[in-house]
Amino acid sequence: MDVSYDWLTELVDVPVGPEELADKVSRTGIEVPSVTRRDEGKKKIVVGHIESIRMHPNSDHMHICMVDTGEDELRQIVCGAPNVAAGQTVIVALPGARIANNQKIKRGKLRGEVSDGMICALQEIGFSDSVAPKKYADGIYVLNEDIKPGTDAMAVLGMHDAVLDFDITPNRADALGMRGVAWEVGATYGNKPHFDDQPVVDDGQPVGDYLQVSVDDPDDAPSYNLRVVTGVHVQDSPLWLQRRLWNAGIRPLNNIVDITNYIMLYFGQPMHAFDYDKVGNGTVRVRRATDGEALTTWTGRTGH
Amino acid sequence: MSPEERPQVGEFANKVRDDLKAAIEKQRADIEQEIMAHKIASETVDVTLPGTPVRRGTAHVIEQIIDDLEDLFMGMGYQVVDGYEVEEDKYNFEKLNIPPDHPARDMQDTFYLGHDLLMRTQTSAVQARTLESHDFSQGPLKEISPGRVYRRDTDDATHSHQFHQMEGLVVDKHITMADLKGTLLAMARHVFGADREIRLRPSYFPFTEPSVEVDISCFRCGGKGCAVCKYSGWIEVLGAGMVHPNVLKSAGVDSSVYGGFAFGVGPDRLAMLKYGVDDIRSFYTDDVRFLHQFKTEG
Repeated sequence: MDVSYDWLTELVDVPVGPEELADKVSRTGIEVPSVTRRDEGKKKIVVGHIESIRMHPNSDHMHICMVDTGEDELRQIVCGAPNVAAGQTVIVALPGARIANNQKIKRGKLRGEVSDGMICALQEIGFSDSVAPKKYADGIYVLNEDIKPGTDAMAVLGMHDAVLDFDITPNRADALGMRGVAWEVGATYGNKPHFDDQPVVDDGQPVGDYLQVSVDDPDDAPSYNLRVVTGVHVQDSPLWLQRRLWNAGIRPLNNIVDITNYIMLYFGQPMHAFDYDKVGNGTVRVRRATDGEALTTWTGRTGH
Repeated sequence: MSPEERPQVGEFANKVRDDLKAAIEKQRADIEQEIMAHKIASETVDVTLPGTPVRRGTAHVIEQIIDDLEDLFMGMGYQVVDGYEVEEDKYNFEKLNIPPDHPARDMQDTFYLGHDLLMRTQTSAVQARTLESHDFSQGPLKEISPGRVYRRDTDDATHSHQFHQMEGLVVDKHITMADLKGTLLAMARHVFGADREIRLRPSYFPFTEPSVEVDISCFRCGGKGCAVCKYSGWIEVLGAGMVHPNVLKSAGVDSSVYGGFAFGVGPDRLAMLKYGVDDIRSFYTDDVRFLHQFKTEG
């Protein structure tokens, strides 16, 4: 389980730094073999705002971008990504920056035009393919918030956070969620965790008005719970939530899926969201598969 | 010839005959001497040279490590027990408190040969058998079971689909964790030197409770920190714990009367640490040039 140090310190008082914490937790029962910092070896990466773009005269796909990086003058940067556009808030590696794979960024010329920096994709600053949002897989990353140009991009992306790899053994399922980890770390240092849980605001309508649920065998599913949420608009999650997810090794998809994953990370309870319109005749039936039954997962794979 | 000339000529003829004979003899002798000299020269042997070397084999380095541990434990009154490499699921898992759907099975990927037969993934399977058959009226159970085990792993520098383990088991009426600790310390010092320390960290194995992982103070730097111990001063070497009551129960042993400890060590890992071997696969490629480096003494 990837434990974010920053998130953990919001839940319980941790009197030591990440490396010391990793060592101490290893000594008291859960092995923490590594502490990763995504910002390691990287520098001079800032938030930029693309003021304008124009086509590159000597290329059929590159653009010349005028980018505000919080300095007196705009920077000219050549960018070959297909999704670059004016008005975007992006990640800029300045000349002298070091990005992923120890690559150094220099001022230079791309096909005869000056490029004073580099607009980056998440993978180019060290994010793994399994965690970077798919929407930007073929181009640069676009931030979905208005952030002041020149701000430390690594801070915005949660890269200064230390991630502790908790090696959870089968007897410690209690530590498969951040609350459980907070209890464990709290116990290690004699501190009680403090959870800021909001009470549920219910509009009073019974779920039975929307759905029926049946469970074939209570031994298979002793407890099955559903709640209906209305007025849903599917879109990208806010940046703070995406940060929490990718620091825990989970790819952000959209606000609904992200919320179910976030709850799983926090409570250790896996969840799933159903599109109400797709639940035929409003009944959810929990049962075992029949012999030879084919199953299509929501990612489109079919199995038996 | 006239009678007066005959004696003179005869005398002269005899002299010539004698001279010729002598000359021929001398020549023959010279030739024979030369033949002899040549023969001696060509057949000369420098007797100060060493003799033709006799090529001696050597025990496999893993065998040496196991033999050494066997000596140590037999000296402490343990028996060495052998087992089956093709084992039944119930001895490899179920009787060790790992039921069929338990997530602990995920900790080891297994080669199955049908539904109930498998290549053993741990030598604790031998312990499950010994526990069943031991007659406690004859005294405590103290055994070690070294041997080859098999796991469905992709081979790399630190993983091999086949490797060795040695598990130990002691069961009697008043065995405590202090007994375990003392035994582990004796083993650590025997293998890695008399000034080693050990430390125990809480861990998890399905067949022991409590379970520990055992670190040894680094034999290279003495604990100050070096590349061998990854600058921590400690090297993880063993797993151990007090035998889980369910394991005793499965073997028909009354856990309210009997208890004990168990430990497991990897001879491959010990050899890699002790001799600085950095690829576990070296032990299994049958390369005599590699194996010959580990000559046994005497």
